[in-house]
Amino acid sequence: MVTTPNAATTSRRAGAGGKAVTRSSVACIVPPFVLDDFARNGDSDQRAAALEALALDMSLRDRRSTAAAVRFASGAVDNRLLVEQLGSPGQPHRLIYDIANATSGSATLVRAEGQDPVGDDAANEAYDGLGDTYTLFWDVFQRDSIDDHGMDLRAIVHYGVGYDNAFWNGEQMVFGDGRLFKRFTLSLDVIGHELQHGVTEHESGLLYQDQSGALNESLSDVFGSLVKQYKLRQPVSEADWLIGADIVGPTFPGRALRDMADPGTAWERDPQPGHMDDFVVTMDDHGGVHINSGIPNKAFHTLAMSLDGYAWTDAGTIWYEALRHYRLQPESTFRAFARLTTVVARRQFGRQSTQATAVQDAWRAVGVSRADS
Amino acid sequence: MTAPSFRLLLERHGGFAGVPLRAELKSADMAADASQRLWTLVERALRSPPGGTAPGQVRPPADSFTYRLTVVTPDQHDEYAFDESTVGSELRPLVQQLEQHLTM
Ligand SMILES: [Zn+2]
Repeated sequence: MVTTPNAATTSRRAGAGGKAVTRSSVACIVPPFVLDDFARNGDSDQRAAALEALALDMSLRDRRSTAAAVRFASGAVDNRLLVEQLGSPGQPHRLIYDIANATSGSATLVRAEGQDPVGDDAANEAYDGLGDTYTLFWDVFQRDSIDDHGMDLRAIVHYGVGYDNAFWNGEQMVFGDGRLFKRFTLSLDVIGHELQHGVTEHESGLLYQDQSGALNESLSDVFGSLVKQYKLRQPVSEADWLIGADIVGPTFPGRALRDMADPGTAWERDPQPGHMDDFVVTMDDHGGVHINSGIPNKAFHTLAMSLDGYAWTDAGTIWYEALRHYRLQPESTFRAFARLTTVVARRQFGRQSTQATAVQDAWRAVGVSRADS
Repeated sequence: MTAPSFRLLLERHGGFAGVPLRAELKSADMAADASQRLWTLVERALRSPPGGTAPGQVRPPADSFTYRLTVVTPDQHDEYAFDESTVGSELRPLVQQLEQHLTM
């Protein structure tokens, strides 16, 4: 187990010290995540009340509608007061640790938010990549960090010796230096991918196994790619739609680890399917989570190409609102997610809108939805 | 105990990259002292059969590796599947040793 000082998750708005405000000062708020919790786990009265509240505005979970939640819960509250009390949203709080090639024990804080670059490329890349990822989520979705409550962004670099991986351990992102691959912090889509795992865990909690796990993986690829596209301000036609292109070296038999535009073609033995007809059943890789993710990856790519322009706008927003929809459950399937994206697109853009039609077409194209659905 | 003739196969799946790798070592290809040292690691690893869930581990870390370890001797042919997060102190030395030999 890797630990960093104060490794317990902290949120600026959770009142855990520092400049945070305590919850009690805004006690009239019914935070949307509490509504979600009630909707999922409460008794029948709590569920009914929570579902009704959530139904008032499906976007209750964002900052703007938190103010609406306050009004809903208490009658009238000055929004300006709320903003003052919430601290400083829009600013990431990054903490980069060096574990010095160990795989357990404590790590040393080498760069904290606001500090100048240090003499370690991996630490600086992690710092910058987490900043770029935070920026996409804040600018486009008004999401304040992993938990939408200003959670610290913690990364550990130099994990293990030549460790060919990066992962999210439930509290922080961990990056290896690579042996077969280059160091994992070199890739912005890797960093965005890992941070999205944290977002997914804080929203639906999609189980990391079989189809829900492949959906979890796909969400990380989608938002990892969006982080890069947003940073480069690339329209869909200019994006490479590749995952891990920056960490494969000249001896790797391929251009990347995954290709969202054409699953199964990124490298010579790329096992990813791009259609449900080719869904892979396996015990390995937690039930093929890095394999079958190709299917929802391709659905997102199809949608984005169909809508043209920038993928983080309409397509990204539809995916984002679906991933935080209260009906997305830990064991949700591709089809359940497809339905939610359709629900979201219809609500946001209209039942007969180009966007709603394109969403349905995209899921049909990969065989998740039937032609008659 | 004296090492029998053996064959070890470690397959690693998943991780961020999702590129499966494998390592196969046969005692017949190794010097006697090297195969003896490796077998000592096998015995240690198999004191408690790999697999299952780590204490307190509700769900695996996203992008953790999964492994398949096959141990073949004249008397046994056993396969173990486990997640990176469940690799404890008894199994880790063997996994680390075999990982040195992973190839695509
Ligand atoms: Zn992942």
